[in-house]
Amino acid sequence: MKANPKTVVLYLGMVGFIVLSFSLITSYGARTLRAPDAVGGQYVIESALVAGCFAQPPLLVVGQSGSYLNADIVASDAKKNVLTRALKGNGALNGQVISGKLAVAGSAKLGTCPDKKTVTVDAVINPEGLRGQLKVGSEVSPLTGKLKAEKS
Amino acid sequence: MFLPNFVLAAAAAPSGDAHIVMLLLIEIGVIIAFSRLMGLLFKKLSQPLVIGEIVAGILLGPSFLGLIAPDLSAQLFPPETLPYLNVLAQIGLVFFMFLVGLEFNADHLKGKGHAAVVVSHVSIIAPFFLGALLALYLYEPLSTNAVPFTSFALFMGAAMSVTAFPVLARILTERNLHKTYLGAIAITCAAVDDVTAWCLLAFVISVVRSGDLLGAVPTTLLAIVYIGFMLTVGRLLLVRLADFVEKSGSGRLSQVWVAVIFIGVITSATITEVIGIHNIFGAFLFGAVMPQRRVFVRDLAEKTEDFTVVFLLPIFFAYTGLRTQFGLLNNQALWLDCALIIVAATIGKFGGSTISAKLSGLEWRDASALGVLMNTRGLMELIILNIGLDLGVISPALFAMMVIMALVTTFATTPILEWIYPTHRFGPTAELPEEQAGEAEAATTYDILVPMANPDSQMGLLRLALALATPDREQARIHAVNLVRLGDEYSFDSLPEQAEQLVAQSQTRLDALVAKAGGDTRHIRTFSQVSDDVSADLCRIAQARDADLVLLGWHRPTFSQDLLGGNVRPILESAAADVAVFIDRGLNVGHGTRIVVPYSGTVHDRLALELALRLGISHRAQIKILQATVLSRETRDLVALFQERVSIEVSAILDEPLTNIVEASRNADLLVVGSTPQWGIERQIFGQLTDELATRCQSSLLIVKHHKTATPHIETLLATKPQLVGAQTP
Repeated sequence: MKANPKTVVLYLGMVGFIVLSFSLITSYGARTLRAPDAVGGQYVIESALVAGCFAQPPLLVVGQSGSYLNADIVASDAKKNVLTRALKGNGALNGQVISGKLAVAGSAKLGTCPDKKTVTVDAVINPEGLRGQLKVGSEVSPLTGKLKAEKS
Repeated sequence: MFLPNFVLAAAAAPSGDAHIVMLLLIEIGVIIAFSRLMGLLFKKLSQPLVIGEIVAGILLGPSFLGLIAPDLSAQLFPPETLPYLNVLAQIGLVFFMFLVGLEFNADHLKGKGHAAVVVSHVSIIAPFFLGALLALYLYEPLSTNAVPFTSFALFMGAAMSVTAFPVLARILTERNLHKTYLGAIAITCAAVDDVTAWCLLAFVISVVRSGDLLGAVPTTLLAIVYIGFMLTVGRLLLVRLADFVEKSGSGRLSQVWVAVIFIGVITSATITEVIGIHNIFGAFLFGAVMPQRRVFVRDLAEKTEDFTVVFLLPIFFAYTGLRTQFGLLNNQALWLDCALIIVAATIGKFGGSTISAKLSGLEWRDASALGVLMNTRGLMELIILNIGLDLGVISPALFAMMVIMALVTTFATTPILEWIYPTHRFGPTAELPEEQAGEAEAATTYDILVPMANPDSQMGLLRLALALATPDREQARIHAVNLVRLGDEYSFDSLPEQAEQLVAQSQTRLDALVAKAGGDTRHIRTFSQVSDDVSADLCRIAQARDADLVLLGWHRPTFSQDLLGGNVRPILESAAADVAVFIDRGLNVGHGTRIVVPYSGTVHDRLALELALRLGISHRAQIKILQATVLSRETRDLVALFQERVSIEVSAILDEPLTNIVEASRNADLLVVGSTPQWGIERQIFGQLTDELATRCQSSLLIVKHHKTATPHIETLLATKPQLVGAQTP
């Protein structure tokens, strides 16, 4: 089959264009863009504000989609569908992780404590887990969390 | 409640494997039933079946069922069953991709000219470029540093570039566009996109798994070696297998050979998985190198597709739905990102294809129709997205956005295409057979449309049409039509080439029928074409041909007691022409044929009389009018006008019309009856009464229904009265 020279030139031109433009895009992106750390997972948290609502230290379950977070504070022995609720986007707390700082907030019922309350978690992520503060209603207390072995 | 509680409770009761198996069976039953239901619902909305199935999967997932009934959702789809659903979905994909490969015809890529080359490449490059560009914007908010930017950008580019070949081919075939220049280019471009997208995906997977472009080199080289092996040695072996199978026996595949081929599919899938590209690529490749146009390929496709498409694919859709979490899109910024993805995908595919097609010389209408078709992503997009999510290269929120993009672009295809390329102007009925187009100047005075559901057994119908057309002689046209109903979506038979083969076979059968009909068949025109909605297409054809009469055959519906079941009732209700339904009990119209026409004073009875007069004029048939009510003045005048030339007897007023008519039919050859409530044939009356006249009638029966815009059937007879008298046939 004899190839049309015009078609060949066009074909090579298009391939050249995409290779060149893709190289430029990836080189720029890899050099300048910084996506957030992967912070999704289950953290065993300790805080004075939740101690009375759970028999054992509860879990902060964090589902991550890039910088966007969906989270829940649930009992450590909760059923799997409750544990995975935040990973499905149906968790009670929403927020973002920006520059290693996790911030989620929402209205949630904590364990056996009555009524839904406004819950805010602000924490810094470190290799072992997280450290920051928990706000329930108008009360604020320090918060620490250890990452459970199994990540989301 | 979706499922009775006791069913779920029973499933929850046993423990271990039995418990999982029971839960899985319930899940699969629900998935298949719901996806078929939604598929049919979307078909009613003129949407591809696949859209309904994808939506069904999403509705069963956390975005809908999980939200409105979390307990039921947790009971129905407990986390412990998801791995099993995933395995079934993966097996389904392997065999579906084998089918996609099997349907891939390399001939599509040959000799389609400059336009096809340009459009096919631009339709990949433009969305790929925009996808990579969009990655710059989406990487920081929607990815993590665990994913290298190169992998993310490559994946976004590949995911934007895909076109759903099966959906596109189906839309083209349904609209009979596959034989047009536009259709040829669209199929070529979609085939190129298909192959390129899978190769690109294989490359993306190797890059993602190895971490960078350099690390992907060994995988890419191995993949190229394997592709080369399959295109040479693999193809050679399969050609030999095809030769062997076709020479031995009937050329049909025995179960042993099906097993051999399935083992080949699985082996190929495993090899590509081991190489480091995905197993679906191996399955696709194995299908693509199968020898085309062989009897056994069709046989193999038929054996594989039902279980894959009906059983396994819905599980894939449901599994996808269970992973699609619209709840993650919980703020305005995320929805704006989603809109941006849809816009970028559309500009890349639709814009790129349209502009390149226009620059290649197509008209704006054709160019934009091509762009719309290429923008169809459907199931193919979901396959790529699931792989991306499995590899961790896209986040769940981005996955949800891309699923919405796939749905929107696929959903938009049919209505926009209808707007650009309206069916009534460019659809099946707009197309005239070549020989007919050449004779368009020959004016006709009487046109009968004769739909032939089964050309092999409808000689009586054709002969009746010939008899009815005889008075108009050269100026009459009989349009014998056979509409080939397309197979289900994804079926091998609904591919353009396969559909064309079926049409060619149908045309041959029609021509053979006409040749056997005897007599003067010069004014019979035959044509076949594909149709997705037989009754609607027949109504459109009747309108396009300006038919005076639509003459339908009849067979008793299998599952219905409705006399006018199947396609008959919709045509009776919708055709903008007079319609006659013929129940043949060995009628042979000729000299002395006895015709009985019951009369109750309706316009339908008047039509019955007119048709009887046509037969009387042309074949000197004897007409007997049975008066349930006294003939109107116009009818009496009509009878008087023809009484000299046709033997017409008018009965006394009937005391028991139905019984009297049945009795009269014992001594008649044909009963021509208007669709009148009195005879139990009007639509309001169903069941036994409806059937009564047809079942008790002892002769052949012609049930007629007048349409208000139709021209009287004796008009031409009256206009040409002097000639007609001399032109009567013996």
